[in-house]
Amino acid sequence: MSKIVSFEDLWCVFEHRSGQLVNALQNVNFQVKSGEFVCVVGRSGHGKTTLLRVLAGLQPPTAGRVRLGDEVATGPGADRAMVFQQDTVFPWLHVRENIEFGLRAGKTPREDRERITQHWLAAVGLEDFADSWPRELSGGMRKRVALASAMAVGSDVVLMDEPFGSLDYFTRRNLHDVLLDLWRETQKTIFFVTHDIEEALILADRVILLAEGKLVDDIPVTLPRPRDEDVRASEKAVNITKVILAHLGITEEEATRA
Amino acid sequence: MTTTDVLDVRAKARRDKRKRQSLFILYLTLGIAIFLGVWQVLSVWFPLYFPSPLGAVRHFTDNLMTSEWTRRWFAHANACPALIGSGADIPPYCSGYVLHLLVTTRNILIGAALGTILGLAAGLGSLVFPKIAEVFTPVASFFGTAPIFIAAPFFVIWFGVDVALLTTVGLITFYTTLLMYFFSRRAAENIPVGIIESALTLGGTPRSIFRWVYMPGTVPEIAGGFRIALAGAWGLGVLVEVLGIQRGGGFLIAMWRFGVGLVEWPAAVVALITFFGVLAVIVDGILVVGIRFLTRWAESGRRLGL
Amino acid sequence: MRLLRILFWIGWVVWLFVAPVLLIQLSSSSFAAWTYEENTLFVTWSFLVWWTILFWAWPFAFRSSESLAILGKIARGLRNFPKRLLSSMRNNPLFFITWAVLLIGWQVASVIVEGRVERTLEHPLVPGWDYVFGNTLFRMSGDWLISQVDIFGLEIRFEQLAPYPAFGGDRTWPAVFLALGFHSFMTLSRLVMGLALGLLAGLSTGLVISYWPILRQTSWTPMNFLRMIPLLAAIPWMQVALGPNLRGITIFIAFGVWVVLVVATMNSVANVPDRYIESARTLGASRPRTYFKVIIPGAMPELRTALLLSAGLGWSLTIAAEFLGFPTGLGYMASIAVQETNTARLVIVAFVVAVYSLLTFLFLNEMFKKLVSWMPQRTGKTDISKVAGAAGAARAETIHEV
Repeated sequence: MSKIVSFEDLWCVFEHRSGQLVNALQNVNFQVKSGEFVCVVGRSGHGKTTLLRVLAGLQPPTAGRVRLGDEVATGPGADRAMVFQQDTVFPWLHVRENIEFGLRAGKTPREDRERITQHWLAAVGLEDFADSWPRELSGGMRKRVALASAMAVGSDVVLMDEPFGSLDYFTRRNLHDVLLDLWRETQKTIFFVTHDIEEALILADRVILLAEGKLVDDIPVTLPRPRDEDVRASEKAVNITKVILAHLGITEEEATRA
Repeated sequence: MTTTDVLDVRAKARRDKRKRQSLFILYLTLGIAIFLGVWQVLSVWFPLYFPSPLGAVRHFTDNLMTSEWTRRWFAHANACPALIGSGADIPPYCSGYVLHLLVTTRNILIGAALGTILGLAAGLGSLVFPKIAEVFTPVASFFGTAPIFIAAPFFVIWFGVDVALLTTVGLITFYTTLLMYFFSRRAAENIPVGIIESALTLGGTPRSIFRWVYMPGTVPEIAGGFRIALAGAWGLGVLVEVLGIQRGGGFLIAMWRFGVGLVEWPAAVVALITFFGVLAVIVDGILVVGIRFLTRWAESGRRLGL
Repeated sequence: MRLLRILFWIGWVVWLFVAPVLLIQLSSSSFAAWTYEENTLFVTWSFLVWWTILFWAWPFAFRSSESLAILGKIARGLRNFPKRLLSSMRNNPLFFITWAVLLIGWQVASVIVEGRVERTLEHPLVPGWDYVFGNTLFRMSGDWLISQVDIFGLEIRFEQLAPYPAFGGDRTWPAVFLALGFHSFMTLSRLVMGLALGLLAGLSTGLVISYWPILRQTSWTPMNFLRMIPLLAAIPWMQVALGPNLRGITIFIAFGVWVVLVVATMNSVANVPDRYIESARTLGASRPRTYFKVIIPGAMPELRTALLLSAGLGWSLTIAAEFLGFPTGLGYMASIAVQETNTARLVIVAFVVAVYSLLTFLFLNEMFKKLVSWMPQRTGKTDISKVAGAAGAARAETIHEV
């Protein structure tokens, strides 16, 4: 069963080429229950991606640690699969082989592998493209492949670093639905980094706000699902938006002007 | 308001496409024609040094199976004693160009294949065991910056000019190993960081990343590197034979260099060099077809790793 | 000031085109063979062209303030060298261990081979370092010989520097280095002549061809075929057809470099992304302006590699041509080594050649860096060893914890 993910006194300090020290993360402390959908929101350059990379094990923290249950998470591994902002689908593998990659690495037996792959191909609606090359797919379909690959390794925690940032509005909305369906079905813990407040309101159980590397607020989003236009226009949702904007240093007038 | 018939537009598009294709063929033939024309003009201006294109081809076909000149040379060198008698029992190397050319081609291809295996083993192996790179890179970059020709005399001294196989194959292997080592390293370095990180978070082990990321992902650049290495190998392989080996295309060039027959020598040398040029083009063409197949996954522009 | 600069550039380009032509005309007479006169002329004019190229190219490559800065950098580098060496030995011991093993292994091999092989040859097949840097290096003084040279009526008698062992003089250590210096000078002269001509001709032809699509399509096939012809194998032909003299070797090297560069230029111009060109055209730039301001700079990064490669080709052609039929130069020294089956001599020559080509490479690299200074510094380069290592380390740790 999924484990609690806890960030304990997490610091991440980078050194610029000029020798200047930059605090990408400053004393971040919070816990995430299993099966929660957490959105990490903040301006660009304020530590969102760093937080995710530390959690993924791609970036060692300067101080503090990340725990999965009782274990300290160190290097990258299949227990924290990640979907990236860039296109990271392996162009030299067919769609099916892409989804199989993590399973092969984990030495899953052949029959299981085929069954699981088939399941996830169906789940993201790409059965007809199983033997296509990634270059033959559209950007949104490639994202589905990445999503399926991350889901298929069977990790309890899935990390997403602005995965839909480069997609058009309609594709993005469509993928939100796909993602939410998968989440409901699998009960995985999902960390979703975004700078889009609307996206956070559609997806999240909880919004973690980062500013200058500090955790400035932890907002529970208790809106009813599915979160259609009406729900997002409700007073509660608007209030959450206002809180987030205020924390990010944007007043309401600025927001409306922009 | 003007109306345009859709069918008209489509027909025009088709016509345009045909026009582009025929223009392409026109320019291609024009290019070849100009090339041959310039060659012909040169042969008229400098008849002593340039054979005409037809002259080169004629010399080549005349001497391919049986060559008076090779016979004479070997008789002179007492290598074909039967020649003096009946003409029966002539050793194959005395008879014509064909065997010499085949020997050179074989040696160069063997050397290139061996060198590619060694270079890829070192280059890709260093991805799994970084220590290999620490040992190999400084040595390889020292030898790699030196002009490769300077290695040829070493092979000639050590392996002699009698055992052509070791000398030619050894030199080509050495050269190809160095090149392929660098090309495979560079190919691996050019795989985007994001893709490696993605593989890591999907639970990739060094072994599975090597098998499913590095091995397929480096193919376009390695293939491009192999084409470059092979293109260089032809010249190097023939040249090392010129240095004194008694067999092969290079030997034929050397033979003519010492002037067995002064009238035909430019035709002979130019014909031989052109032959190796054509051979290189053909082998390269076969390679391109193979590489296209191996890199079906890549965007069309990147397929040949250029 | 602006006019002066333009004049400077015009002068520089004209001179680079004219100087090799002049030299070729003057240094090659109707004689096919190498003669005393030709030798003299060659030395004279090589000296002049070297002097001129250095004089003109130096301010271009490094402006005076920069050259001062570079001198300072070199001085600092020399001062810090022992410290840097120590720290790099500590950080990367394998580098030094590898070289030490190779050098010692060679010495061991020399002892083993000496014991096994019958001594039929005058020189050992695998000479130990003592043999290479003792006896053999000293005997290289035998190559010290320059004909008397007239430079503007000034007679220079090189014999005064060290006696010629070939004429019965004593073997001396200065003669060793004079011999190496003289032959290097000859090789480098030939290389510079060929490269200068080949680079300029290749770049300009390639850029002209690329400008007109019809020219590009027409010349594509023949140029690619020419590139595939094994030029190294054509050296024996070159010696007779072009003559074993400065003119011949210059034309030969220049031709080889020209072919490679024309194809590379066409390729790199074709590979400039369309979006830059389209964006320039929509901003109202004319076709020539787009070509000079967008396409050529955009093609530079790829061209840089091609330029470096062609320098390597130039080195190979020079050494090989000298090996097969020139009475001077490093290639000639290598051919003597093969005639004597003297590996030790070959080791020395090969070492000298390797050092020169490394320096050429560094120098050209530094020059071309200026051409592509607009390029963003590459930061996203994967350090594979680190990534693979990280994966390995992470795995090991998790296994350890479990």
